[in-house]
Parts: sequence; structure tokens; C-alpha cells
Amino acid sequence: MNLTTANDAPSISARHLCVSFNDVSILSDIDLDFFAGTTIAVLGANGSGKTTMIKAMLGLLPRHEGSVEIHGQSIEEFKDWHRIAYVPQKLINSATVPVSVFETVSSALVYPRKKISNKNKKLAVTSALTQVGLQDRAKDRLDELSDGQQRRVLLARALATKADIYVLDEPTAGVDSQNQEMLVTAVRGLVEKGACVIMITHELGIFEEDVDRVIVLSDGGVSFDGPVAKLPAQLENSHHSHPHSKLSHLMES
Amino acid sequence: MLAYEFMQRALIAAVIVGLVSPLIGVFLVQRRLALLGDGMGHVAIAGVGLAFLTGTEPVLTALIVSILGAFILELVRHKSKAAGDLALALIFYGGIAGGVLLTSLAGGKASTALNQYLFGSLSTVSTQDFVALGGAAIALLLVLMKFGTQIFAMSLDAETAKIQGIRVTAMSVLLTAMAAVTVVVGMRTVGLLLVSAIMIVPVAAAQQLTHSFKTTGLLASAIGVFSAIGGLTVSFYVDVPPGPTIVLIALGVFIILAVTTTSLHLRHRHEIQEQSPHRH
Repeated sequence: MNLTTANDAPSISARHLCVSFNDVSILSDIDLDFFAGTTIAVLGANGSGKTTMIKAMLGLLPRHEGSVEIHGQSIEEFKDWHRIAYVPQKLINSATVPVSVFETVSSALVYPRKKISNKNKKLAVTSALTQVGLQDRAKDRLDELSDGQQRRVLLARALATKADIYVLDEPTAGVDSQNQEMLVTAVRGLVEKGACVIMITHELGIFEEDVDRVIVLSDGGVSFDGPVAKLPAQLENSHHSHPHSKLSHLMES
Repeated sequence: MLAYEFMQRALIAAVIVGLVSPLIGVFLVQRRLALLGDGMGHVAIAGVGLAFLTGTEPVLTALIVSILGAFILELVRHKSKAAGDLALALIFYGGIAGGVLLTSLAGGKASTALNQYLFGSLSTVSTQDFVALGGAAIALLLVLMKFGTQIFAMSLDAETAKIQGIRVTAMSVLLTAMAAVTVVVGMRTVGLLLVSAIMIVPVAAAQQLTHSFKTTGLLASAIGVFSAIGGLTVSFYVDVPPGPTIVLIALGVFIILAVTTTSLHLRHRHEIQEQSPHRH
């Protein structure tokens, strides 16, 4: 992991980011910088474009306009993808061919430009599974685990990478309060080592004390960007779908 | 049976098919593309028909047409939003219709020869075929060794794989092309209409017992080899086509494993639930 500080260039930087689906503007003119050594929570109602924004920043969705830089490099030129770890919102559909917990976690350690030895893979996977309390389930089938346990496996998959940018989409969904504490400890450890942790979530919940910065999305833009202490109470738990959001309409249609 | 040279070739060809096909099939099942091999078999029929018409080598022509079909298939899958599997079906139907038509135009004994490619034939595996099949199988194994983990990561979670820098579109095309090559590897023994089955059925059988992707692939490969040897042996002594026999043996293995393991699976899951009352 690179030990960078908040004074360095942003880990991720977006300028004039615009995203459209079927010619309908979902996000417009987003300017954001995410720095190393910080925990950022992206809040917003369902359909406000939280996941869409992050996916556009990571190149998973096309940008209509704007630019994204990762570690100071244009995303088009960025090659060091092993420095980014991602926990998707959706669980893995493992109901086809059996996939073990170990295989799922170690799948994060496959890079076209970087070879990791089997020994190091095993060490990293075992350590990551221990961090999320699933070290005894490594050989089990992923689909035999509960949704909460599968969510922890996905977090372990990210932890195993030793990346310096972590994007966690709804990391606590379905995870009980006892294990949420474990996740908080894991995230805290990442930030202490200098990582930039971006969490997409409906509410701060158990992470409230650890979040350095909150970004709230609404109406296709950033409606709040600042520390938790200054977050208006009505925004903090605005987890219901915005009835008039463009993304909600698109999803419903 | 092994006193005959053609049977020695056929047996080795069958073992190659049984060994390699499930190793590709396990990725197709993981990606919910179990019928892709079936479609590629249909496209390969057009290649065989074209070979009859032009007088070229059927295995090589089918290989080229199948790989070309694989690229068109991936192009359609990525570019066509509305057509989806309908567009794929059109390509597949075009393959079999084109194959039969070209064979008919070729005249002579081409129609009879086509049957050998559709259902497999023991006596027609020539030394030239044998070398081509062996080379293709070795190439498949080498590609799997090089890109297998990337294809696995892509099959498991394409979005995360993309963030890892894996070229998911390229891996998807590569997998489809490998399925096309596997179809051609298997067409002389199992036949084009059933070659997809030897990619998929052993995987279905193996996953009744396994807990990981790797062991599923390896066990499926072992079941594939067992079915290929068993099917070929039965085919020789009973004088029936090898393709259906190999596939029916693989299906038999699947049924036996599915029936005998269902109760064990249920008991195992029950035990896990009892051991972990709080599963979060």
C-alpha cells in the first residue's frame, strides 16, 4: 500500500462529470476530489445516482462529459488497477458452478500486469478472511453462506488486494451489528495505513464517527459536501427513493 | 478393439475431447452460456458444408468458420441491445441451414459424409484430423493456463474484474473462440450436434459433488474422459454412433450423482444450519 497523505494529489478526481442514460441527464457537472487517508461517505436517496457516479468515475459506465483522474493520471491512461479495490452493491450470483469462498476472495488478486505467487495469494486471502471473521469458511461454497456472510466475503476480497483506493457500495447491507463493528475496524485500519475509502450508503449508521467527509447527491448534483458535523439532519437519513428522480423513473420504466 | 489402428486414433481423439471439453464448459456454465457450444456446433456445420463445396479440409474449414462465428457472436452480444438471444438464434439457424444447403450443393456423397460430422464416426478419424485435433487441444490448454484465472474472475464478477484491469470483452471473446475450437475438436468423435453436451453434462454431473470451481473443472474433465472411453467402447461393440453413446453415458453419470447426492446435500445443509444458528 502506498503511504500517501491528504496533502498529495487526489486519489480520484472528477471534473465536470456528466452521465446520461438514453439522452436523459442523470448527473451533471460533478466536481469532486477524493484524498488518501480519508473516509468519504456518499449519501443520497435511491435513484439519486450514487452508484452511477462512482461507476462513471471508475470507468464502469460511460461518461457523457467530463474527465476523471486516478492518482493524477487520466483514467484512460491509468494502468495500476491493482491499487483499486471494489465491493459491488450486488452479491455474486454463485448458483451456477460451485465457487468456494477462497476462490472468490483470491479472484481479486488476478491482474493482467501483475503476477502474485500462489503462496502470497494464500496469505493475503487467509488474512482478509480473518479480518472479516470468516477464516473457517474458506473451503465452503459461496452460495451456502448467508447474504450477510457473502457481503463480508466481498469485503474480504477487497481487503486482500492491499489497494490504496477502496470503493465500497453498501458494505453493511445485510450484515448484523456485531459483524458491522468488525467491518468498521477493518475500514479504520485501511485509512490509518493511508488508503482512501469511499462508501456508498443510505445512512452513515455505525460508520458515523469514522467518516471524514459526507457527500450528498440529489437532483443530479452534489447538494452537500462537508464533515458529518455540518450535515443537515434531514439529509442524513434520506434513504427513500426520490419520487421525482430521473434515475428512479428510468429504473421503473 | 485396440488392435485396429483407426480405433487407437479414435480412442485418443475421444480422450482428448473428454478431457478438454468440460474444462471449457465449466466457464460457459459459470457465465450461464451452457447453450453457446450448441450454437457454435451449428455454425461449424456451415464450415463443414463449405469444405465439401470447395474441396478443402473439413476440420480446418470448420475451425475457421467457427472462430469467425464466435467473433460475430460476441459482436452481436455486445452491440445488439434489443435483439439479444434472438439475434444469436438467427446466427445459429443460419449456420445449420447454410451447412445443409452447401452440403447439398456439393452433391456426390457429401450428404452421407455430413452425417459423420453431425453424429461422429469412429472410422473416419484420419491421421491428419488427429494431428489437427491434438494441436487444437494443446492450444486450448495453453490458453487456459495463461488466461484461465482472468476468465474465471470475469465470469464471476465482470464489473470487479474490469476494475482489476482485466479486459473483460477480450476475455469474453476468447472464451467464445475457445468454445468454437472445442466444438471442432469434438466433431469427429462426438459429432457437431452433440459436442456441446460433452462440454456441459460432465460439469453438471461434477458439481453435484464439488465445493469449488477448480475441483468442478477437474472432476468434470475426469467424467468426460470416462464417458468418452466408455461411449467409444460401447459404440465399437454394439455398432452404434459414438456421439450419442458418449453423451448418454455422461448423462447417466449425472443422473446417478444427482440422485445419490441430493439427500447428502440436504443433510449437509441441515448440519450447517444447526452448527451456525446465527448466520450473519
